[in-house]
Amino acid sequence: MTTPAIALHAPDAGPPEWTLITQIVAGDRSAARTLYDRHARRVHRLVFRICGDEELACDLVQDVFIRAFGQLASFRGDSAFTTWLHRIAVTTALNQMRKVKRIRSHEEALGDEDIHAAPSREADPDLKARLHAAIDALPEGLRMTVVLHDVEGYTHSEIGEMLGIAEGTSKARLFEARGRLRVALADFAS
Amino acid sequence: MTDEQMQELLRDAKDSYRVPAEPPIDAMWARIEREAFDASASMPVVYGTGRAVELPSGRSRGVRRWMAPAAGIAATLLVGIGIGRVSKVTPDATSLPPVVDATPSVSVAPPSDPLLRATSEYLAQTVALLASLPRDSVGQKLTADTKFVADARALLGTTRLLMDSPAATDPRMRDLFQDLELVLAQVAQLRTAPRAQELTFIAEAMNERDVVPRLRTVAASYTASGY
Repeated sequence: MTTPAIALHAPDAGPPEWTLITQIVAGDRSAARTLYDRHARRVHRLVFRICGDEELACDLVQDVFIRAFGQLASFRGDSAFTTWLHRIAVTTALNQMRKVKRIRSHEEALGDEDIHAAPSREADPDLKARLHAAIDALPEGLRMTVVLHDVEGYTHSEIGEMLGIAEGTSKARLFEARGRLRVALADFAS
Repeated sequence: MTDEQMQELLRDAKDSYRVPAEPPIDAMWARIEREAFDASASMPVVYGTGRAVELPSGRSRGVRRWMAPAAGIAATLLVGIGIGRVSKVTPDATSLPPVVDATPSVSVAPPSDPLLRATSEYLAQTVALLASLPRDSVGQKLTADTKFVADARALLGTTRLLMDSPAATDPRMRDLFQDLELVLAQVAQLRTAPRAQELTFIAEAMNERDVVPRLRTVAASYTASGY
């Protein structure tokens, strides 16, 4: 491939991303702001779908871009810039979620409510809501695959790159996840 | 539940699962800008003249890939130089943006002058190329692939174009272009498996003339001026 992948993924008109990246590496804040404006909402949606908390999602977006700008000089262009950025987003969000989970595990041990538990049918009879709850109740690896593939629309190849797993593993996880969702929703579909 | 029902539900989830509210874009940017740019350690930019610069230990292939449009820049330069020569020359149009050591301002004018813009892109790409120069370190295999050398040659050609352009009317820029010509000429002659001594000569040439700090300072000045 002779054209940098990043040049093919500019979400809107304006300078090509390779130009912005070069300018940012040279210290150009306005180029950084342009790049941020292009990607911030997408990153926000992605991390919100991972964490489910508005305030935390905003913190994560900031962490993601601070990390991304700090690492931009080492961006190799081997993948699309969007994929590179979203990998940082997924990693940052997952790390933060693991911290949150540890805290909540401690709280659960003290008797607090388990927010990841699937709600009962009586408490939440709506099928969509039940699906959302069932997705939330999946183990992290399965949930991430469903969110990234079925909700966010990434390919297995991109998911593999983001999560550091093989493409086949992503497919297997999706198969497993859908199976579990089907079981969780079985009594609502008849 | 059938596969079709499940697919339909999941399709719906794209629009219904954890849909966020509009994020506070500007408010989030404030912290990002502060931490990413005001914390100088995180950004490899704006070195004061004479300050030692440590090059990264490995070459980034991505940096080299950004060199792909070098030919385009050279073409832009030709147009810019042409415009510069046929236009009535005014001090504002051809003078170098003021060289500053401070962090660039946030609000900058959009690029307009093709020569200044092309010079700015050339400076940024030259910074990237020199920063990705292979280093002589013990136990490290040195390589300089044909693409890397080709990029250096393209930038060398651009340097020579700039030396004949209004961009070199400023004595500081002319001196910088001359030093870059010397360094890039050495880089352009690197073999695919350069000897450590060749790299040492290049590094010495850069260090003796403070090439990279001056280059970065000028590049930052262009950036701060909106180019």
